[in-house]
Amino acid sequence: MAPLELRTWISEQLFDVAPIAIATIDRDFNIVQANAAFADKFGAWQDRKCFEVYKHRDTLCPRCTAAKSFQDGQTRVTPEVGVDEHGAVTNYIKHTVPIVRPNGEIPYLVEMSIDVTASELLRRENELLFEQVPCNIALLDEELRIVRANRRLRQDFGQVEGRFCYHVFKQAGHVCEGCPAQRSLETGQPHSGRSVVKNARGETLQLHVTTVPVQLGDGVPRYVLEMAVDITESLRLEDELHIAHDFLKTLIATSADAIVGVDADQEVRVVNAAARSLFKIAEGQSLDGDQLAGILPRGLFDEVFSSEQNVLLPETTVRATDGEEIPVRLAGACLESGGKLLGGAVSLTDHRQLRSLQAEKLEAERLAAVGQTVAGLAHGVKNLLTGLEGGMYLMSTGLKKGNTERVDNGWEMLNRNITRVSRFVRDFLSYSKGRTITVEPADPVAVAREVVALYVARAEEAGVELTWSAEGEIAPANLDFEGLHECLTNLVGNAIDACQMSESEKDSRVHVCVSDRDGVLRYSVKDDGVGMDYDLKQKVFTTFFTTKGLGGTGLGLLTTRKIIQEHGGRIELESTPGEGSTFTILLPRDRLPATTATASV
Amino acid sequence: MDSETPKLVLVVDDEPDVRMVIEAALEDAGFEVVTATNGHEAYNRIKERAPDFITLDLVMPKQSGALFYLKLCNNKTWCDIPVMIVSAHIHDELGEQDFRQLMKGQDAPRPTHFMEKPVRPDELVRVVCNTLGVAMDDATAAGARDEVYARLRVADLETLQKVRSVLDKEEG
Repeated sequence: MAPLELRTWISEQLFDVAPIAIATIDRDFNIVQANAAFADKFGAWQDRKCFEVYKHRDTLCPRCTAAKSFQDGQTRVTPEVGVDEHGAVTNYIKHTVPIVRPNGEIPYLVEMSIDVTASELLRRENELLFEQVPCNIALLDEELRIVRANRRLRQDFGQVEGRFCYHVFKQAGHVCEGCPAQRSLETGQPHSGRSVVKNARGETLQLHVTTVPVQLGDGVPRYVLEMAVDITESLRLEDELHIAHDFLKTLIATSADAIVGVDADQEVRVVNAAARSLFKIAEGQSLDGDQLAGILPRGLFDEVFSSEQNVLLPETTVRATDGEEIPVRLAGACLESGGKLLGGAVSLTDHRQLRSLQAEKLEAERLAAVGQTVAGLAHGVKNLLTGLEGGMYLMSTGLKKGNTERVDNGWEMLNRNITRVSRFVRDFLSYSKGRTITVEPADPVAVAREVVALYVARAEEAGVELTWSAEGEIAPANLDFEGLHECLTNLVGNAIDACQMSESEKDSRVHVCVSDRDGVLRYSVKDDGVGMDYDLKQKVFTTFFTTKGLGGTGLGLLTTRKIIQEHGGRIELESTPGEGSTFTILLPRDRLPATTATASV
Repeated sequence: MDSETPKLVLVVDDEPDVRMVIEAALEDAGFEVVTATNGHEAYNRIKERAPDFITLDLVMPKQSGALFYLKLCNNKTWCDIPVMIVSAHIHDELGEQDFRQLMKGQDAPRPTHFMEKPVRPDELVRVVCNTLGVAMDDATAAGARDEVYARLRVADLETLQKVRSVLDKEEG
């Protein structure tokens, strides 16, 4: 029996101070008594019906537990949803206890309401989380039977509750090797691992599984929470990334072009095999900023980063680490992504082989020209023989007949032709041997200017007006000044002769023009002299053809052509009989020989 | 040489040496000679006085030999003048094509003769004489001697021996 004070306190104060809403209702559902906690929660209760106060209703609740308890005198515990004093929804657990008189009458019910709103909210939150998270969650018991599964898991695997997890996920009859859930149950610690499973649709999924033991107070894990994230897609993307990466890596590594890549700070990140070979950088040797500056054109990456477009240098020189100069074609590009600068790359094509091929081609062209001229050699020699034999004939018949004039003529013919022979031999030898041209940067216009200056007086004597001009700015070029001088001299001389041979009465004109268009340096020598018909045009370059009769060896034009060929250029002829001719020397700048190289062709 | 007016030969060649030698040889044989340095000039010469024979070089500037020849053949008055092609280029790329074309006789009657340079003056004169039905001037000893010398130069041993025996007979 409790002490009197307590009993008194219980009967007098407990009701009021108990922190649970307690109300007593009569058979008419009027609230006859309620405690402070009730008033706090549900507000004013005097002379009001219970359904009014709990539920803000006008009528009895449809499944009124009070009515039932009045009926059968049973105690009931029910979860209820009501409206509190402030009009907010409130969840509570209601204990309905009937007061039963000895005669069985039930005049009143005592209702005790425990607020569970907060925990209800929490419960709902958990529920939401459990169901909605984008991963499969299963609650397993000690036998690894699925007790509860979230919606996602149910969607992927169907009805799983009650089944063993290894049966559902692996279609296996026993626990998997290294099962993390099992381990969590054993160790009481979270575990994780990879798992490959097949879902209800037969699709294979790759999962990352995390298992967390759930302990219930006594420290022994009774349940385990298994959370599985589908990483199939990210694994696939990872694979794709690997493949793409390897693809590009192989592409760069096997490229025949040298590739050097730097990051935004110009630190070297990529040096492919071709670059190592070109620049002579050993395997494993890295390239620092200073070395990079030494081998590539100065300021290249600054240029690349600042320019909008890619940088292209069709013909430039870079230096290997041992100082060797290498001709290359260089392309520099800026690497960026989404407006952000990632770095830069430069790719270089080694032109050494190209150069040597070009040199070979030039040589082949020269030999072909020599071959052609050998055919024309016969003509030249025959002419000389004619002269020699003719001279002898004149002399001998002259002597026999006592014709001194004839003897003199014969003697003169002999002499002249012997001189021609030696000159011919000398010219031809020098022609076929191959002159070494000395190439230096020179002013192309100066050659024209000088040649014209030399010939202008002689031209005037012959009644020919000799002029020259230059079209615009002509940049310096690698030329054998003397050689080109000889060429222009030859052409101008021929032009003047052509004018003299012309039958027209008016003053003739010869004009030399220097121009530079589309990367080709041009010299044109135009005359309005006698012109050449088809036959002559065919023969002009290929033989020792000379219209000069006595003096020329016929090698002038051929030598000119050879010198031009040694410069990588060509010479063209346009001519109309009676109107004049234009010889044009074309020197593509990208075929001009390198400076100071004595290109022995 | 008979008492007719000397026959006229037109020598067309751009090489002065060639013209000089052929002219000398022909004159020695009693022909009258005019020369021309190209087809154009040659035509002018013909207009002045039609020659009895023409020697023609093929490769020349200002109207090549072949063109001149074609022009000649198409001229009614002069198409019958005998023409000898004298060229250094018969076998080389320069003149070969023209020469072969000419010798085909498609565009014009074939030239009467051709001779390859270097020309042997005596040979040339012989051909001209034969064509025109003129006996070579062998009345003078000098002419005969020239001819004999020339032939002896290329005679074989057998011929030489025969000649020696003839001379022996004469002397003896």
